Amino acid sequence: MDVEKLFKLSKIKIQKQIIKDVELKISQILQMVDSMSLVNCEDISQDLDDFQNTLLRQDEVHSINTREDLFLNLHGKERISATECNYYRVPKVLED
Amino acid sequence: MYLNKLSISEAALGLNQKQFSCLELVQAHVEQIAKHKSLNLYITELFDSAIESAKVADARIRSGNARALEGIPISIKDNFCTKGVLTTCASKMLKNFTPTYQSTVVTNLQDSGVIFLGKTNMDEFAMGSSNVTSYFGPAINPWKSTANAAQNLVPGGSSGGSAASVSAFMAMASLGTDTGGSVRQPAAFNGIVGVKPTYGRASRWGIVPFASSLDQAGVLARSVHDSALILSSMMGFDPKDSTSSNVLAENLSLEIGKSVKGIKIGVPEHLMNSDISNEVIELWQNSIRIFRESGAQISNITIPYFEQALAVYYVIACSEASSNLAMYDGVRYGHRSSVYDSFEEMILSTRSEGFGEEVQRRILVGSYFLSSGFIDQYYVKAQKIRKLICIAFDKIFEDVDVILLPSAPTQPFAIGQIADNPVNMYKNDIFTVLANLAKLPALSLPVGLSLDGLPLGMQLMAKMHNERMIIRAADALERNINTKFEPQGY
Repeated sequence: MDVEKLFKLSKIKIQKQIIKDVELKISQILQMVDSMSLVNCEDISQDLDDFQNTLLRQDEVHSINTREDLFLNLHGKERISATECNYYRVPKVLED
Repeated sequence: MYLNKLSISEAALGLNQKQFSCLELVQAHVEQIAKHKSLNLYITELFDSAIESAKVADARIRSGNARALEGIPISIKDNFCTKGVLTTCASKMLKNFTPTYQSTVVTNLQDSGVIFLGKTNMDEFAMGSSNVTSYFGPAINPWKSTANAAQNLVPGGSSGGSAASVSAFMAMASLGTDTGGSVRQPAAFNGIVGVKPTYGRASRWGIVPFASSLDQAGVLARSVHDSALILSSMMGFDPKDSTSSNVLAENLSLEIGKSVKGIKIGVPEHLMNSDISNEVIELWQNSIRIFRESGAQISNITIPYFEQALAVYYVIACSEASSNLAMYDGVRYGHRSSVYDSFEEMILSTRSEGFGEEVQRRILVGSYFLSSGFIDQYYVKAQKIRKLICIAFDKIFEDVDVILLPSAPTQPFAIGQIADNPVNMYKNDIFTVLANLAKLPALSLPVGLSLDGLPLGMQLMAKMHNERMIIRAADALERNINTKFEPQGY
């Protein structure tokens, strides 16, 4: 198992000092889930969840967040800045 | 009279007969919470708003406008969004998150008149069976072993703080969530009742998601009657949850006091050979005897794929968790690292700092199950076996009304006792994951004490949308259990 690849897929920083421990614990989990291989599922269809019909709503607005509400989750300078400008500042997403 | 030790129906009667006020009832709970703060059961206390709400409730009662649960003080697990109130999910990632909206079941209960005392401790993002993965430190079980009274025991998980708050009389009931047993296992560990309705009967809208096809809101209370009263008020169709069941609301408390004569109880006797303590088996057999003497018909059943159920559960739960928790990227929600040079590094640092060890492990393993080359072997295979499990339960419920089996294989254990192998912790859920996989209603109730004086629970399951049957059967069993479930020495 390529544990470093799993860290990359999971968007979690690779921590060299714990890789061995992570590898051991994940292998213990994989050992447990291997019991699934004993079940023959050849005749079972791939539709994963067919007994709940997904309900659809009309595309109508039912509630509105106010700016003040949305800024509740900003703290310190970010909140002051957002309140002054009336918009969120997010980290730079597009790299140079 | 200790007001915080009353049942919900006793409290409702006392309030309506003006024997005491809502304010006095809330204050009794506030004092109890303050007295036992060291148990670390509440992440956020809402004492001021609870006292204000109590005054409003008193006024409603005086004017004859009391609602079904007017003035009943309860706690809420900290993964239910509460408008304007911190909702941390016991994670560093959300330690400053204040939702701008509220979970539907919280609103339903608020509309029934309940008063919220605070948000309770839990395993981080509801991932755990012992409450030790909380960013805010472990919650402590108020029960003490007679063999070692100095040792702190886990309250179970992930709704550990909720269960312990009810057991220790710091709330009359609590809202919890149950993805693989997170209401029923802590209920068993705390000597109280825990019930999870059918998937879809209580809205998931506004609950911080862990594994969306398994998550369900549930209730923790000190009796079957109390749990029926709360559950009746929180269930109902919600157009905001696309998996919500459009089934009429029911007054489950009408099932209290009914006979179980003629009801068919299925007992999976083959599970008595599984890894389970002798004390649990003895209480299981005692529960069978009580049902038989009450006129129920007992039959032996087999639950197919029991040996695979835990594996299927963990593959699906970890896969869905790795997908759901992808939203925590430092841009839209919660914690953002302050140490980064690039956008990619900001995400990596944010997630590494914000998630604890168990959450990271489940994201890693979930990513593996969903990754190219392995998805068929793990996730798709697990979904197929889940389908077989659902079909098997449909068949079982053609012949029986209720299934009786243990809630957990052991009594509550010491904090830190299970730490070496994560699978040993996962085995706590061995009897509870079945109901989540098959989307069935299930209830745990306390049925006796171990030799160490610790509570043990038994579980009842029924077919989809038949919450009435598990309430009826559980109430009948509870009436014949003569043990007093009250923790001492905490």
